[in-house]
Amino acid sequence: MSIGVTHLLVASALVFGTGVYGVLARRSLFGVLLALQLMLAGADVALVAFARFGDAVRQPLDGTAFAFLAMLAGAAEVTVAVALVLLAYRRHRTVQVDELDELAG
Amino acid sequence: MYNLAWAVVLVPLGACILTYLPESPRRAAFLPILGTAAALVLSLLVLAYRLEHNSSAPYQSVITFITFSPNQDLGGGVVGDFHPQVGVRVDGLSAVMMPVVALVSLLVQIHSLGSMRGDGGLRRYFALLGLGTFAMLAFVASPNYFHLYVMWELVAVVSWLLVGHWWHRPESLRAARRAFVISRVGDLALLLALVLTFVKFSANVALLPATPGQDVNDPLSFTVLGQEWHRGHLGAVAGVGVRTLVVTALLLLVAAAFRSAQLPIQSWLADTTEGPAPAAALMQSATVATMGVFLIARSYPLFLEVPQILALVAVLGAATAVAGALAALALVDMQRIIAYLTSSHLGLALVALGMGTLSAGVFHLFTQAWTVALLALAAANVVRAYGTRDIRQLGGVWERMPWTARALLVGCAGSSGVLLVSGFWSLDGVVAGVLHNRLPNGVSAPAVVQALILIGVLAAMGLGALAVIRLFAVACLGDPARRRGFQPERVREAGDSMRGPLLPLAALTVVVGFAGILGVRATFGNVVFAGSTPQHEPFSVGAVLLTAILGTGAAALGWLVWVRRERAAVDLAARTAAATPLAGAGALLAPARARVASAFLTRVAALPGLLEAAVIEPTTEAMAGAVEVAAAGPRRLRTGRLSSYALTAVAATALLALGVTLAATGHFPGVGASR
Repeated sequence: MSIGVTHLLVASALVFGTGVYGVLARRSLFGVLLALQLMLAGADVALVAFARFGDAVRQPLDGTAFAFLAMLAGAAEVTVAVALVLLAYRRHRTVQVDELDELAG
Repeated sequence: MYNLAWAVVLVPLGACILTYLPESPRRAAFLPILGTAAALVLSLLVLAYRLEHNSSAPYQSVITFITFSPNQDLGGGVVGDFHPQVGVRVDGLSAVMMPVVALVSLLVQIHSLGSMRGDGGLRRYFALLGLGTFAMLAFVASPNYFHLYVMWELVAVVSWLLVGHWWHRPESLRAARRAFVISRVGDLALLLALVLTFVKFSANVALLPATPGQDVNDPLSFTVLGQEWHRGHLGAVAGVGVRTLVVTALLLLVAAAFRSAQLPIQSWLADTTEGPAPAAALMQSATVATMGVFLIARSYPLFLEVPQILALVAVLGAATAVAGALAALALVDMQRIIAYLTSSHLGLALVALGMGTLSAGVFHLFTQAWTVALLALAAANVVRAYGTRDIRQLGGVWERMPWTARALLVGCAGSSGVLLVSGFWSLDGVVAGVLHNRLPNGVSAPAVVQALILIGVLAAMGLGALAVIRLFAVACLGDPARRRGFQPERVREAGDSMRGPLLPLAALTVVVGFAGILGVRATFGNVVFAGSTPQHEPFSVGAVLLTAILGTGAAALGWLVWVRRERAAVDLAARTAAATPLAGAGALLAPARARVASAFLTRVAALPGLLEAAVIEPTTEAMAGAVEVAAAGPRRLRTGRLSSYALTAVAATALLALGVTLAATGHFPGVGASR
């Protein structure tokens, strides 16, 4: 049995699903951020899979390039997000999402 | 040569825009002054050229700035014929009025350099004067009703801003608001007249052969309408009858009456004195107040077709002339007296128009422009020096402010029609018109109407002459009243820039009348209005004698009463006043009218209140209640928890993904599955 696009997509979905669960279930903002990165990574896997098994003649590198771009965006996002979390901590002395309910207004 | 008229109109506009460039407001003030001076020189060139070629057809140059394609169906059907044009038109009327506007505006601006010195809003004030000058010049030179209407509104806006220049004074704000609101009603009448004209004439005008030099026929152009009105009167235009013309003329008359402060709505003109005095002088003498008379002169071909409305114009003018003179005789506020005199003289100009003597009416407008500006500016100097507008508290101006007082005297003579000064020459044109009573097309007003108008005109002239002599004698002679904090010894003559403009105005007041000597070949009317519509100016010895006797006699009587305080004359005046409570009526007029108007408006204004209480408020309450009830459920969703929001987002994304997948695989008929 050789590895096909389906296997890679299932793996991607699993990683993405783990990320979604983490975002919903984790109570610490740092945990939520980690889970977000997992979601991004899952999407990256799908991108690379399509690049590998897709139309290699006409679009040889598109998916790969896109995956790199997504990683870069993910890295940038983490820096901003961590800065925000630090600010939220300074202000509220907590990083527990359940206690940060100011959005209720 | 004629296209200089474009520059006359546009140079003040450019100067007004540049007013905001210089650092110092005082230097900025010179820009509109320079612009207006340039406009004055150019307009004089245009006038000279026009006088030389006064028998040629009016010059017209227009720009069509929107043209709807004739094939384009814009719903209404007639809109395709709407070609809004702006431009200039030079004929006798506009060529004469442009230098008047430019010169009065220039002198007012020079006066303002002194009298507005140190004002916080100097830059804004001068920019507004420049804008007003542009708007009025463009109004005077307008080639069609569209352009005319735009400028009509622009002048109203500028007047509103100028009256409310001292926005921190509540009375200025109130006066500005009142003038603005009152003027809206007249504007509505003008707009209705325009719409009516357009709807009735546009389809027909579109079929006419194109005017040479123009790509489209403008149904609102004065040239086109001048012929169309006549053809409409003859029944040669489909859908146009005498009734159309009567209604249009009535609407124009309403607009003119509002703008020129005619009888029921005079008080707003007096309210303009709550703004800066030089601006009020400009508004009374050369801009806002003259616009109504100009509108009627401009629409004269229409009014000639409907003599009954023309008679109404004359009656309204005569009634206003009497009421204005009475109010001027009764009031004690120096600047308001002059405003009511202005209104009275505008009424007399309307009488001349109404009796079929266009040139006499315009000539009266022309001579009174200088006189009113002179009176108002001189009064501004006096009021500034004495710190009060109540003439009973003034006095001694003659010795303390010799220049101003002498200028005021010349203005009084010009206004009252004393022998050989400008008012005399134009007033006897008015009287001659009433005596002659014959339109150019041969129609006469009924004898009763003519008699009424004649009585009104003569009464207005006599009362007006009395009023100015009273103004002069009470304000300038005698001693000022003792007031707290006022030292008469410290009253000084006004400064150069406030004194200077009085000189040319006084000279013009004395000299300009001779342009209108009746019987002389080159009279004002024959020169200015020669050409396509030659103006026959009636001459009558009776009119000259009447005017001379009345104007000079009333002035002499006033002199005896208020200056010499001759016992007999004072008794006569007192007895006349007791016998006819007319003078009192004039004083009562304004407040009574205000009471009636405010009672009426209060009633009317209560109606929307009732409507609100009965309909609008319950409706909005019910809507708010419904929203409240509907929101009760969703409100519980708003937890503020990040995780619940994230869950919602995930669920929504999942639903969306499911939908997209189903659509892509062809599970929704008509959506997706493009392959």
